[in-house]
Amino acid sequence: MSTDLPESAVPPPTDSSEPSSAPTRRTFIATSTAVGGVVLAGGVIGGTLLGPEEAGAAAAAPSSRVSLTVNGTRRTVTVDNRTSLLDLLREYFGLTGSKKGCNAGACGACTVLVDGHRVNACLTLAVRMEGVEVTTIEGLADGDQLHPLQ
Amino acid sequence: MYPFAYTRVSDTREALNAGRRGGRYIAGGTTLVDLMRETVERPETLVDISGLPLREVTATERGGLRIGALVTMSQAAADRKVRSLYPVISEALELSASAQLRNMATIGGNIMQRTRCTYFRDVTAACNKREPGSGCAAREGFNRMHAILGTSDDCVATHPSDVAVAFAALEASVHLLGPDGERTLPFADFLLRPGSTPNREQAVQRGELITAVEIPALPRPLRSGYLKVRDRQSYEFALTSAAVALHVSGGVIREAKVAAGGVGTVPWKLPAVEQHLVGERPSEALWAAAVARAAEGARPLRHNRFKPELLQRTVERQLRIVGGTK
Ligand SMILES: Cc1cc2nc3c(=O)[nH]c(=O)nc-3n(C[C@H](O)[C@H](O)[C@H](O)COP(=O)(O)OP(=O)(O)OC[C@H]3O[C@@H](n4cnc5c(N)ncnc54)[C@H](O)[C@@H]3O)c2cc1C
Ligand code: SF4
Ligand code: FES
Repeated sequence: MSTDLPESAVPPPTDSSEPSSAPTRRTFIATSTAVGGVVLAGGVIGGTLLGPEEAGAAAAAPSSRVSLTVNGTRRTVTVDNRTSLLDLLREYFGLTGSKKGCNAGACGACTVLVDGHRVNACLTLAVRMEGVEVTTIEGLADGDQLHPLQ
Repeated sequence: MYPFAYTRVSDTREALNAGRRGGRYIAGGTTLVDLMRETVERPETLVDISGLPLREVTATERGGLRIGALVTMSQAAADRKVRSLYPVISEALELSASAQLRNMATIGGNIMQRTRCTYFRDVTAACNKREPGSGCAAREGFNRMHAILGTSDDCVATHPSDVAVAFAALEASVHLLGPDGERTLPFADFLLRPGSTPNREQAVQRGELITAVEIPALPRPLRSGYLKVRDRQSYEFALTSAAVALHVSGGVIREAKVAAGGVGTVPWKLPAVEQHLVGERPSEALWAAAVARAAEGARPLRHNRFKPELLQRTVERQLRIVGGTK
């Protein structure tokens, strides 16, 4: 059985090295204060950043809405398109069992199951996870019985 | 990572439309997301093609195989037709990357992957491939992993794919779909040597979509396999590698397909070795004689002077393994 959680939003990835993200983030926060009601955790629901003509074209938005199931719980979030599945799990869902090692596909510390297949969450864009089932190390327990990996 | 728009397409026409407008296709994302994070790649729009119906391995009428561009590396490696007809392909795939990456990465993305030259990935270094005209930091830098064949003054980077070496050996072809319709390129024309334009790595036009890689039929029985030599046993790209396929009948080699990886700016087909083998009986002496000129024309760099000899030994060893003499 999957539980439905209220929709939430995710701010852009925290990466200080990128020139373009600072103004973007500032704009996000400014906008989110104005629209208070739809804002969670400092982010905004997709679309509010855009001008009226762009707002119609979802393809042009820097953020997108995605619904996925994480360890049996259905979640709907709006993510900055740059957010990795790993950051979504760790920073916004608080599932810190998947680790960030290299952040480049080379160590496997971020391994999760997507629809039953193991993948690197660091190289997976969260925005691509529409409709999938994600299982993290936290989700491997069978009731109170811990999985050997745990 | 720079901001980008994201769009998902569900048929090839939609994909081509988005591609023509400058959208960048994303399949497994294992090359693209990595390079976007390093700001080496800066696409404005990502076009998610993972929903396209290019996920099948099918037998061709003439006895070959057609591998859809979106078949994952793990799916192709496990496919029963691939395993029984061309073990060299499944072996090359199983020696690539990691199980997690192979579950994500696709065949189309694999042959489109960019070099692993560390200077290419470092946006502060001079690199003609990333920024034409800026120079090549690898020439005077650390170049142990770099190419000795097919290099130019402008670039000495290797093509990193393993399965591309098998495709080159087997003389595969690449099926492409563009605004003007379909076309097919021999694998040898698909990947480009650097010359004076190292920034162009594949003969793909803007917006063109790879739909499949086709492996031609070869006479049976065919024995084939892939050998990869590397500094450590996993997660590592080839220092050298060899893809070999041999058709032996009546005790004589009738057909030989041989290519090497880790040494060329593209997978390096070895026609001189092939010609030496055809018409001969497998023997220890034959393998040794056949590879004598395998590294002809090599231009080693400061840190990879060992590569010509390692290349010969790698090919010789794989000929022995596939050809069946001890
Ligand atoms: C840590 C690590 C280790 C690795 N080790 C190896 C190894 O040992 N051997 C090896 O061979 N590889 C290795 N790789 C590379 C890996 O195999 C490639 O990243 C992968 O195959 C790329 O496929 P993808 O589907 O993820 O491509 P993506 O990242 O989605 O795309 C790559 C490029 O191809 C383009 N593209 C994708 N599909 C199509 C299509 N159908 N038509 C037109 N263009 C397309 C994209 O626009 C992009 O430019 C390694 C990668 C990592 C991160
Ligand atoms: S070898 Fe090629 S990819 Fe590497 S730094 Fe030189 S130009 Fe760039
Ligand atoms: S964090 Fe190293 S592979 Fe993902």
